[in-house]
Amino acid sequence: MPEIAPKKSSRYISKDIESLLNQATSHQVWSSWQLALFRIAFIFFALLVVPVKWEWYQRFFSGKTLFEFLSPLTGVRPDLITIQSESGRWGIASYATWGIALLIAVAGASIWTFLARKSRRTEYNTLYYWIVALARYRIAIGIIAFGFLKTFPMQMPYPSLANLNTGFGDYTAYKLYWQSVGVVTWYEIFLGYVEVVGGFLMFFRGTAALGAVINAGVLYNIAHANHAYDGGVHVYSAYFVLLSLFVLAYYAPNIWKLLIKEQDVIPQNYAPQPQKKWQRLVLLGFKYSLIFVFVVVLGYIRYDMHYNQGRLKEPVKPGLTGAKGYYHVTAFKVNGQEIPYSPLDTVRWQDAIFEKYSTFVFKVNKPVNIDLANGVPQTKDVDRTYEFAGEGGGRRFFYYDADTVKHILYLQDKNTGTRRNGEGRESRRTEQVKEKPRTKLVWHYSQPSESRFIISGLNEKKDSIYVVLDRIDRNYALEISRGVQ
Amino acid sequence: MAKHILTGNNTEWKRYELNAFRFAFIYFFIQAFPLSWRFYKDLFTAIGSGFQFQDLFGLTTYMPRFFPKGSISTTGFAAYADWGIVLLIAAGGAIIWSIFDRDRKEYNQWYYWLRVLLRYRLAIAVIAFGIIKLFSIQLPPPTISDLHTNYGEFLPWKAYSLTTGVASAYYEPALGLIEILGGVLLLYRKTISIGAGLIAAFLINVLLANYAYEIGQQVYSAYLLVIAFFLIWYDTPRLFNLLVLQKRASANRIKPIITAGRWAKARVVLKSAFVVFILLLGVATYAGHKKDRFPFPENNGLAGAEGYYNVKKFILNNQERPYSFTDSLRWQDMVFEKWGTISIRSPQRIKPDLSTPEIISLQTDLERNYESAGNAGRAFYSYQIDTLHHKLSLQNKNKNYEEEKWVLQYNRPDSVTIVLTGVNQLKDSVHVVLNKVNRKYLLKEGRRKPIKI
Repeated sequence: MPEIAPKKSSRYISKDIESLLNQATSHQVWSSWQLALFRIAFIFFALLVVPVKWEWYQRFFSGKTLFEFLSPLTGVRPDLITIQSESGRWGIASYATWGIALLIAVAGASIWTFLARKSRRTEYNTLYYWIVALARYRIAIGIIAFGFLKTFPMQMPYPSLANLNTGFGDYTAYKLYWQSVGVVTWYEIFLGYVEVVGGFLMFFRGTAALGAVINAGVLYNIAHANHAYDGGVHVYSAYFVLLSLFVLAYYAPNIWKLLIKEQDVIPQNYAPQPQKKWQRLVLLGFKYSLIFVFVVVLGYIRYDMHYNQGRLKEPVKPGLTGAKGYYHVTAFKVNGQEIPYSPLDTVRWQDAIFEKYSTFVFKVNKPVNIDLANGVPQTKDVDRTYEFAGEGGGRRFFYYDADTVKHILYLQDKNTGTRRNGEGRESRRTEQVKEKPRTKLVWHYSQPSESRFIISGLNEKKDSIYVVLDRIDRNYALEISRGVQ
Repeated sequence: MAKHILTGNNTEWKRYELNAFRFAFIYFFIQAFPLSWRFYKDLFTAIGSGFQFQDLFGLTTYMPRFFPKGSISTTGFAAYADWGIVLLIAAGGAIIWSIFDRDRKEYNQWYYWLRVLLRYRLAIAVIAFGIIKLFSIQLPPPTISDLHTNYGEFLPWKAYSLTTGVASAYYEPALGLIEILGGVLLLYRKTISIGAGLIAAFLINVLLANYAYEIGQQVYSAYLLVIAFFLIWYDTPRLFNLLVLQKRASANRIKPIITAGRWAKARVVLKSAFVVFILLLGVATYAGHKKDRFPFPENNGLAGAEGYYNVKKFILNNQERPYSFTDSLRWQDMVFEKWGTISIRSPQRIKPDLSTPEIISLQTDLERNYESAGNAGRAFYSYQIDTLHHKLSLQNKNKNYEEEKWVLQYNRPDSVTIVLTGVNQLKDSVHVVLNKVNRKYLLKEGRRKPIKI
């Protein structure tokens, strides 16, 4: 026969509260190891959050537009050290900054503990609150800015015609990952909103724990995926996981007590309680102007950049009217001599594509230098490389200006063959320094029928080519909805 | 229901709480407890077949079904038709129950045991999915045929699955471990909300990905997600008090205190059965996958033939056909997988196999369609080898072309050449010369070092 536990009645409750209050006040005294651990954590997280590099301040103060001013704030990375090796870029050594910060924190905390040896201080509740608040705001502005890249779906564009016609094995993993998200725009937008909401929750004490859980989960997934696909932003994503866990740790003892130990809890966390009205106004004013700037203003800037200015990864200038499509190469002549199609031929084109924007693509069985950069947004169409970044298969990508009166295409090779390292956004500036001059071609074109183009001119080797292209109107399985089969 | 195995406050419930509970109890009981004879039939099949992991896995995906498979749409709102029936039964049942159980003040006991049922139901589901991710069975790496399929030739679900399949750094196993962890946390009363929260976060993404990429498992994901939310509901008020309102939060006081007797014995038996099932599933999955290569075919292909081949020469009905982009009868390239599958690319448009491969029972090699489903760029053939007569018997794997069969004589003059000669079911004859192409794949080279390819 199971034992019957005595029922609790309301009489006991007042006693419960009394004992809880006692516990809560006794909790205010920290043990010496808690004090020491806190000093380490304080220095460590302060180092990770507050920009310490001179270059950052230079960039920050040289911002000419509001965006250039905000962007260093949302995207500051605690790069104390960069190790020049494969592991330093892709592997465990890329986390070296964290190790250095920890070393400095331990050393600093030792000095701090030594200096404070005579202090009668028994807790750091106030300081703990503020360092957690700092972490919360850092996460909030960073992740909201991250999220806006997807809510205004810039980060992962929908696959281009060339992307659709490239073999799965001719992609790098990182490109496949981004492209798979880009396939479903609403899903990308949703993922963006998860980040924006998760970041927004960090602004408020009451929702910070939930926000920290969401952000730790989402950013863990992003960080691990960046390792899994060599996406290159693993450290920056893991950084937010670390900060989120630090915030969560602030709330964890109470959650543990309530759920695991099954004890009633009266939260006794410190919160600033400004006595004077002006103090309150200043604090709240500061908080809500931060929220206004990093949510509303930055959101509008991102919206404007995406939909109005077209600062994108993909070109925006429309291609030749009515040309968009995938083309078979029906005839191909070099210096007047016809070359029949063979998949092994290294001169003859195998197919050609006019994208909806002004990019012309053709495929040859000949190796090309693969662009291994991320293909970040650029201001000029000719510099926008996302469409072929991380992609092989022998395709050549040309930006073109068309003279529709004289029927001439002025083409420029988009792949300069210089972005050949898997760089993240840190090295965006060095990318441009190394640029080589582009190959330029001038071709005549004619359109004898709606679906046929004839191209003639000189190729890179100054041989004259004559190409007949026939458009193939076709569906792609990727665009089939199984619901309407 | 034994009355004395719980302790806690017996506060009275409000009227609407009582009614809502009666409804929820019936609804979730029907959803979670296997009442269908189909489940027990499958259970005996699984035992009879010697615990094949596919059969065991199939059991974990139980959902009550009132409309036979294929009779309702698999997309849109109609896919949830079975839930509608359960809702109707629950509504009717709750009304009758409230008439007969008018004097009830609370359902603490019932609520506790309903949660026990749902915890185990959810745990078994997510642990099973965790296990097939742990061994990369759910989303395996791409095959050679996949590498030679253009991105646009995949249905969205296939592009999504293959993309997850190429992940390195133990990404897919880690996702599996998260599911397993969530499931294990459900087994302990004090960690239910943490486990259910973890699972809910995971399943929200799974559910949306199912809609986004038309993966086809959206009803099952939603089914599990609703259970996870129901489990979280219990602790929500106290967590809300603690974290959001930052005021006094009272802990759970309802706990089982079974120490001896029939209930204690039953508990030990049921818990052991659960643990045994999970261990069996884990071991059977690992062993089964090692042995039979699931979800790919089990039988080995032509020895030493694995690879990508250019179709150098192609003679159809005694007429040689040159390389062409437009000749839909001319084979362009061919892949021999490690196992008994060949795939062919030609300009012919293929009606892709639109089904979603599911793990529900042990399948023959021909039925294992993960490699071919959702691929519109290549024709897939399962084949048998007659090594004595050097013959391959091909059967198209795509349901839309299941009448297509070839019998081909093979001849291998050297290590990189295969010559195939034979006829199909329409007496068309072919003679093809295949040349193996040693290809480098950018996917395998990666982005860490400069590459020209």
